[in-house]
Amino acid sequence: MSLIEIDHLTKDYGGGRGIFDIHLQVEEGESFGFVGTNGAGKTTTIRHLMGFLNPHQGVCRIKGYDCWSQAADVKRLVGYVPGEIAFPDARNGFDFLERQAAMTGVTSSAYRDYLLEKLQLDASANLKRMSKGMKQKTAIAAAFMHDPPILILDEPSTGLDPLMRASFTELLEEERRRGKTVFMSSHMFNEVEATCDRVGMIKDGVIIDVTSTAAIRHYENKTYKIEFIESADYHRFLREPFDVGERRDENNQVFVNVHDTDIDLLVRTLTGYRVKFFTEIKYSLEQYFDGVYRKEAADAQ
Amino acid sequence: MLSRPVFWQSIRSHYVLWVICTVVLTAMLSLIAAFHDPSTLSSLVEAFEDTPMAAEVGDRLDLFGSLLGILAQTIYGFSGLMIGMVYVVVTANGLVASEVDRGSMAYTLSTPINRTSVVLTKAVYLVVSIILMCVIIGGVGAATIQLKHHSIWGTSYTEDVKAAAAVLDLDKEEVAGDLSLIVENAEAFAAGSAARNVPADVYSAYLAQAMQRDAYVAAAALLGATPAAVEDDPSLIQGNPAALAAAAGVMGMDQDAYAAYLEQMIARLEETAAQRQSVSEALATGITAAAESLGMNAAVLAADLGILRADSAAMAVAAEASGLDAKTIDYAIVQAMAGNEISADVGIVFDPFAYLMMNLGFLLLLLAVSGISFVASCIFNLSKYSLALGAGLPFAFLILNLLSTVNDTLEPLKYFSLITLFDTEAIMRAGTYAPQFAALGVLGIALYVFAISMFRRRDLPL
Repeated sequence: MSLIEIDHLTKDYGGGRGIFDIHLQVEEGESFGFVGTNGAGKTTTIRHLMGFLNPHQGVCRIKGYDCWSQAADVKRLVGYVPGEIAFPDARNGFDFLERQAAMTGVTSSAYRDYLLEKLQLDASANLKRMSKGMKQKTAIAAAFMHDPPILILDEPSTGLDPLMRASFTELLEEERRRGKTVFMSSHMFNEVEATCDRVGMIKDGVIIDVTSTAAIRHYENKTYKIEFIESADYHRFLREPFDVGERRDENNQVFVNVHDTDIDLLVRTLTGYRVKFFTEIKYSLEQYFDGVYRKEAADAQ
Repeated sequence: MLSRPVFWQSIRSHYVLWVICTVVLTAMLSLIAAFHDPSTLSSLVEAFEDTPMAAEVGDRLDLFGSLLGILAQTIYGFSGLMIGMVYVVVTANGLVASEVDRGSMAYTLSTPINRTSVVLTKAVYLVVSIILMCVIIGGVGAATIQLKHHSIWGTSYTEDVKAAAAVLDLDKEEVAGDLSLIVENAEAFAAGSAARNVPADVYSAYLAQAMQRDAYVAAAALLGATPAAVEDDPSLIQGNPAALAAAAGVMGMDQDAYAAYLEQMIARLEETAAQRQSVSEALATGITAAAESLGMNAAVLAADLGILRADSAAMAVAAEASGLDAKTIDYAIVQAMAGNEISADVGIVFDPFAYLMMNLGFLLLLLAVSGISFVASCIFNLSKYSLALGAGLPFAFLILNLLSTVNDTLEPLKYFSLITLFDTEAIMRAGTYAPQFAALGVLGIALYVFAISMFRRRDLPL
């Protein structure tokens, strides 16, 4: 049995809005990324996991507990960063974290202090005057500090600057090494690609595809961008037996799709040409989903 | 079932408004109680403008001249209720709807505290805070009334009774229970008259009226009727020997003499009523004319007729305008002044049980209103909708209640207002108010149960 199970989950808000027949499993220790545009249904799915919404159809379970009817049991296992940061009344960050600790029943502040240091957060600041990034860090500390086995994060890196985002990724990596299960949503492909084992894409409330990031990283079809010094070389190359994707005549540039087994052939061929530069276009999750997305659109027509 | 951290959080978020409203209401009640002076008729002056002979209107007006009557119009009336409602409405909205709207409820509900205990704890906070508010207001008010008027524990006596009792060397209670003791002792009469600060003839008329009043009260207690009902129909006393004996005792007469007196009075009742009516109308005309000649407000002059009596020129004007002869108008004025004294006595009457019931009614009404606001708070995602219902309805009740008192045409509006169930007049008259109280209590409980079950079952956009 999977740790997080979303089974035929449907919440129909009418007018095509909502989520439809969502089916996902996340194993213990796994890190799952959930991507999609704004309004695609990421937050709606997460709200079901947190027991805030009652499904129209289907069920969500975390460690066998029904997320709606056994919400309190589920929350013993979960740390949650909401998509919208709106804190309750509290004098400052510490005050808020202490309130959360009282509610979750945490007595030791050791892990909290470690997190604050790691996130470089001064929690003594007034909550209302905190910047967006500081608020986000406070929310992260609140979700992580009771050291729950499952982390449910709704766009957790919003508002963080690139440096902070890097240290957040590092923190998340650390949590994963300690065996945590992560379910996070994001609209940034590179973020989930770096931190997640598997990524699901949701569009208009429907899961389009779920893929493993390892497969993307080790994708065997590569694209190379080559620019020739002379246009004569450029035109001669076009006659070679390679799969040329895009070509830019004015710059003498070509994009060549090559399977890993044919790289040797490409390199040997290029020795007969005067090459200005030669670079690999890294295959990314974004490209992958872009492909899936186009295919969806094409199929729909 | 309840969550201590949620309760503390509720206190921290909402205590400021609670303190403000409690302090304001407590201060209002205490100040009114502390500065209430039973001998001033200021509160009656206004009423006098509409009804020429305030003293003759009797019971209804008297009631509102008393301390409890004034409190019923202020603390337990529009202004006090409004302050109480502001606390209730704002707090109910802040406890649930505003937290859901802002999204901060997510932090409470992402902890292992289940929804039911979160909403139940918040409901308990609201109910307890309202109860505490009412207990403090009522308690401090009672302490003030006790300190100033000694009328909660122990009976309050009028100044003339105190003075006369000293002269007679009798217990104040005994003298107050039989005013004929004063009438029969010249020295006591002089002391009482001086203590009341009225001329002998007015004091004499006052004592006669007071004895009659006390006789009706004593008889009414035994008849299980209101004093007003007995005054309207004194024949009630005739049918009940015990009531007759009690009334006779108060009048300082033996039973047979009183029975004869009563017989005679009943026979002449209609005739005297008509006569009194015409005399009082004539007197009102006379007072108005005299006030004009003196350059005074007629209402002010009516409240202090001693000024008129002391001025012979003004008296002549009054007699002329009223068409009464000098002797008759002087008699009418003496009776009216005695009536004013009777009205002043009402101010000193204070019924601790009615006061307790007044506070209980206020509490039950606030709890029922808080039920409405709490339901609104629990069913809406947006604060603005929660306030539209949770504040709109209670304040609509308040306005409907106010409008219903404007005139008879608007009176039926009171049937659309929850506040009608808190009937201060019925409490003061010891009328029927228990079923209304029960209705408020049941409504409050039902609303809270409904609010909690709705919040447990609904989707939350957190």
